[in-house]
Amino acid sequence: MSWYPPRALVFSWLGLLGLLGLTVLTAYQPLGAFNTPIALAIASCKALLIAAIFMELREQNGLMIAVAGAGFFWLAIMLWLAFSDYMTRPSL
Amino acid sequence: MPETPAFQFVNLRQQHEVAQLGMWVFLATEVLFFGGLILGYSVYRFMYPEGFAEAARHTQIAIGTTNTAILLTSSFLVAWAVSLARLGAHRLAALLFAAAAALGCVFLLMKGIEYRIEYGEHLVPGYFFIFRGPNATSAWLFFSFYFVATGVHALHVAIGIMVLAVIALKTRRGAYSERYHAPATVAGLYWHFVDLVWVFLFALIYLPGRAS
Repeated sequence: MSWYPPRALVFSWLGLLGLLGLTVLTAYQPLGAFNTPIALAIASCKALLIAAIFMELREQNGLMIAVAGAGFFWLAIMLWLAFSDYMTRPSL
Repeated sequence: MPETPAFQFVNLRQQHEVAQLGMWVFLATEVLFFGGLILGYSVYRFMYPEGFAEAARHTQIAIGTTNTAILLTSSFLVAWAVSLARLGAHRLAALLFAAAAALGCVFLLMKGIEYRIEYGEHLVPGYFFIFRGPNATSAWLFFSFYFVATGVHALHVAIGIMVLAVIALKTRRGAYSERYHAPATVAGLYWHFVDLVWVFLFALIYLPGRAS
């Protein structure tokens, strides 16, 4: 039947809920310095799923993907430059 | 229903593409808007890691996780609804848009309950804020970020609920079709973005300090 949700949407939704469970479980494991990078990596996977499938970026042309990525690109520059300052300051 | 494009476009397809492009440009400004907040959070968390971990343990992770699942599900419903609106299945599409808006309302309700708990625990900066131990100052910073970021995000959810309600009504009246569906698609993009921002806020607010 045509009113069924497209498979890609269902799998993305289940995948997103699975990643949510995974990130909560790993947050409680004592992994020291690795907890935060793992949490952010899982969040990025979820964001990619949302952007590619729900927001249909995987079906778009290069122009649309470039515009969609521009904000994140400039955000990355902002974080990179800010942290190249704060992470290299000698402790007083 | 506009089955012909506005005068400045060659065809409906081009008009649809421009609408989507415009929404993505707006969303890029939103990335930098929330990005500034997240940069401030990151710098202070880098400077006061123990204080942020201890403060984050005071957040309501059960409510936060449930709310994340609610937003992810509402996003799925919107994506499904958009695909149905294009097929011309108006009634079911309208129902799904309305259901997604209703889930948005549940999200806001849970957020309100969460704020009520934090108010009771004296975690609102500037308003009888009480946090015992050496990390009180950095906990203040954490909860300042928490209330500003989730407050601004909740405003986005509220706007999204209103947008989805309008789209649901217009879908019900059969305003969208395979040829013309740009408003439904663009409203969907906005709602998914609100969901995407929450995914990062969830990781930054609720998860730190849980293992220690």
